[in-house]
Amino acid sequence: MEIREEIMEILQELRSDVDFEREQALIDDSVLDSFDIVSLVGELNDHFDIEINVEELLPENFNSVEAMVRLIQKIQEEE
Amino acid sequence: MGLVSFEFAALLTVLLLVYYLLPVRHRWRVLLVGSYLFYLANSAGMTVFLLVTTVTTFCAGRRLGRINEETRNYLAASQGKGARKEYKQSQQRRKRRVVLAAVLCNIGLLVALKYTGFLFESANALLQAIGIGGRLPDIGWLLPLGISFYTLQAVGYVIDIYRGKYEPDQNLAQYMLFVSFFPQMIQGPISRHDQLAHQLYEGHVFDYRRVTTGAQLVLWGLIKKFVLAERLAVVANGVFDNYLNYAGLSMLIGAAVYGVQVYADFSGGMDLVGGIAQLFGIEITENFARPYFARSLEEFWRRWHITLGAWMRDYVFYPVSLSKTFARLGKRTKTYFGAQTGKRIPTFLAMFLTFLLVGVWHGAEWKYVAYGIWNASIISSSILLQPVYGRLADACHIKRESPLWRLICMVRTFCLVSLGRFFARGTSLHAALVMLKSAFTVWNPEVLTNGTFLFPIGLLLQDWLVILFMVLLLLAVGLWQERGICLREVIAGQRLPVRWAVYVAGVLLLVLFGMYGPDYEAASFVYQQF
Amino acid sequence: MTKRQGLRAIAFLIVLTAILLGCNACIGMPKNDNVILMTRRFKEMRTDPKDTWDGVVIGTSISDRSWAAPLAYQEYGMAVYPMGTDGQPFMLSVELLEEIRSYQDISFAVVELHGIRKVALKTNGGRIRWVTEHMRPSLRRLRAVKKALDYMDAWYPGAFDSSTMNRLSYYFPLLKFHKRLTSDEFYEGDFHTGETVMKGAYEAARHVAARDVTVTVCDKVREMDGQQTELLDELIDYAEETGLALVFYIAPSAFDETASSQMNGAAQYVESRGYEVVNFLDPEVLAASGIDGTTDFIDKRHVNTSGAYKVTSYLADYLDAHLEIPDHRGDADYASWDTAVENYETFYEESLVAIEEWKAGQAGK
Repeated sequence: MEIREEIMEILQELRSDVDFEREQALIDDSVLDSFDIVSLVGELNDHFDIEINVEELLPENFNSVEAMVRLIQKIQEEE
Repeated sequence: MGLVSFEFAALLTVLLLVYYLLPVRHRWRVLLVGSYLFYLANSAGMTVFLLVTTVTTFCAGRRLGRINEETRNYLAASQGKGARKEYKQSQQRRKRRVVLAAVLCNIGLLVALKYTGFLFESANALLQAIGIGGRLPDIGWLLPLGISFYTLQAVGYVIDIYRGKYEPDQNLAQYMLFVSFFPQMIQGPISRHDQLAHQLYEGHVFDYRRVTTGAQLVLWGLIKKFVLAERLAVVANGVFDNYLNYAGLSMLIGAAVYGVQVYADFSGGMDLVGGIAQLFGIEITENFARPYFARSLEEFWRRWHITLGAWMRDYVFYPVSLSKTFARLGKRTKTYFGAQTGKRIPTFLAMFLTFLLVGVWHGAEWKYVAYGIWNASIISSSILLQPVYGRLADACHIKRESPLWRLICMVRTFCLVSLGRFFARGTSLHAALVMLKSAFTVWNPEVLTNGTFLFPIGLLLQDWLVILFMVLLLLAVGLWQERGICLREVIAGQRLPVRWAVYVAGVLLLVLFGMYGPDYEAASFVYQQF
Repeated sequence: MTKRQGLRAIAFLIVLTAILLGCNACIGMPKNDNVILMTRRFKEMRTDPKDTWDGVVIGTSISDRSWAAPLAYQEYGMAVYPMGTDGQPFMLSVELLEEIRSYQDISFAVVELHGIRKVALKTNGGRIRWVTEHMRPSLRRLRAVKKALDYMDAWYPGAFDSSTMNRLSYYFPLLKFHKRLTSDEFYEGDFHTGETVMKGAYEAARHVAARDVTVTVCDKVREMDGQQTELLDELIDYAEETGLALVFYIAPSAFDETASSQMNGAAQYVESRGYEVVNFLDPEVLAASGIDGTTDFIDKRHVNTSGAYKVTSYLADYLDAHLEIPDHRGDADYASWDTAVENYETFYEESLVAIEEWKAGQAGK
């Protein structure tokens, strides 16, 4: 499965009320709060077997699904 | 010399004149001199603590910056994957030592200065309780001005460098300005280096629009502070400082009034700070976003004292909840409590820790501990109960996005916040509990009508009318802002007579109805004490 | 910033300042029944035809309660107006005289001396304001405020709130009294000054009541100290330099020995500087003026209408004998004085009746 679809699945489960396809400012517009972020990071870590560090918790890494894909690819490459 | 004193007004005038007369590249120096003059005038003997924090975080930042650079250079040059990983890890350990030293040193200084008295007191109580004699001395240390704000700002800077978010400052004098920028010194906000520092250093040309906007913001802040907050303080102080004289509904009114007072006081203070900064062409981070329009307590904390909340989120909540320890803990709790609950437990723990810190950041007292626990409990319970609320709303056929439901949520949040105020403003934890008990066991609506509460507490009918007017005004402005309408721009778009009339009316509102003057105590802000 | 913006900003600031100064002029100290009479006196100083006064009586309330200007006019045609204010700070005498002389070209001032007592010198904010806030906004007024506040800070450090805000509130009363907008404390005088009907003579109703007092005659002399002589010298030097004749008097009062001995000291000092003092505490003067402790006082400090009549008669005789004062009776410019005389006659008659009635009531008890 594509990374993007996997992330979408996690996101839908986390917050079914949000249209993640469209949102481009999930963090900047406070669509996701800090609890969502922590849960999301936990799920992503588990699912992709990666370790997202605190320093990567920047709005630009989580504002959209595309940004998250880029982040995960970057981490996977580094490891 | 507070932010509202003639001395400060004089200093500000001189600084503004010199600032705009000097060449742009020297303008930051004016701010630095002004900041240290302001600090020396207020807290001269304590300047050494400010300097210690400034120098230690500056050096730690540079050191971390060098390690970051070394790492980058090495990674760029070397090829072997294994060697790279090992090198990265050893560099990470070095960085961790530096950041730990800097954080411990500065937070330690803050804790030592702010909390030793409390710790000693608590130890004495404990010694007494378990029957061991002996007493630790009472410590009545004075706090360096702004230590709770500038320490967090400087520590945040070091951690950001550690995280590689931006490059460290190379100029100590400039960095001194970042830590000590005078408008922020009294009550924050806690700014981030990447948002504030370059604005301070680069200097700004005189921008008529920005300067007038700044002046308007200053006026608006002063109106909130002197027309509304100072008036409400009469009621809130009356109830909280003499809580034994009141009961029931009076307590609830006192807490609600304090809620509005502290909002007008703190956000007014922030407008003042932001306005003063704008006079120099500098935009300061927003600290408030109409908190009383929040629909949940969690949202409230994202709208109230935003910079403290964001600091705690970025430097406490995230690192703790994402730490390896908490990840392991999460795995364990999942096996014990099942997946749904289990994965939440570490997050809740991290949140309790964060709110506890937010609580005691306000001061070294048990009531603030209770304040933190109150907030964390409500937020975690509301997350847990969210499905229940949802079903409740569905059962009552209320749409989630309907104005009525939103209003209900806002009122509910205001009530929850107000209950928390008993801890924040009560003279002690004991007092807060006594007040809470009375608030919910005594039913005395007659205090509103029988003339024993509203007027004897020190306000006349005229004062209450002024309060009503101001609350409605704040509400209207808030509603506009929520809809994205900037009132200042609306006013600026009017014809000259209308504009002038509005500005003159603002000044008159302040001058005629503000509670200031030789018959009142010189004004200080609520958050000045923290 | 464009030139246009700059000009507009300046224009706005001018408009704003004008409005604020307007508010400052409207909202000041409360004009209750006590204050309004002082306000009316200052108003009359400006509304009476310019340069029609011959002289003024200055001093504390002891002075203005004891001077019935219409009576002196009736007897000698002299226009001598009472410009006393309650607790008038002696250190402001010169500034007060300067203010008066900018409207009325007086040739002499009659100075009542009770204000030089040590206890009176330690004044308060209200007493300062009753002089300074009645002065027109001017450099003189600024000087007077500064002088009074500096004086208090120098002589009584800590007794006065010397914060910038408090000091500024003497220049801009709005800073202090804006709070009255949200208080219930408003008086008719705040909206309408009105006029005096007897050329500033004390007319409040309680003036008619009488109290039994004993005028303390005391031969002890407490010499003036440096603080007191400095003030007396300042006043005398000012008068001599500017060609203003001075007459000193000590109104009858029934304070204790501390006060009387200081009055004797003040009289002695003033005499040493070459001025005569009409001293109603002197048994001879007391007897000659006919002052009677059982009918002529409101309280220990102040004479009533009956007492004021006797003090004025005696003092007016003295003034007429020692100064060259023109007789203005019949002069068209002085028509308002004639009206004052008529009003005063009625008032005096009614007061005497009231005093008799009060006495009878006392006797009946």
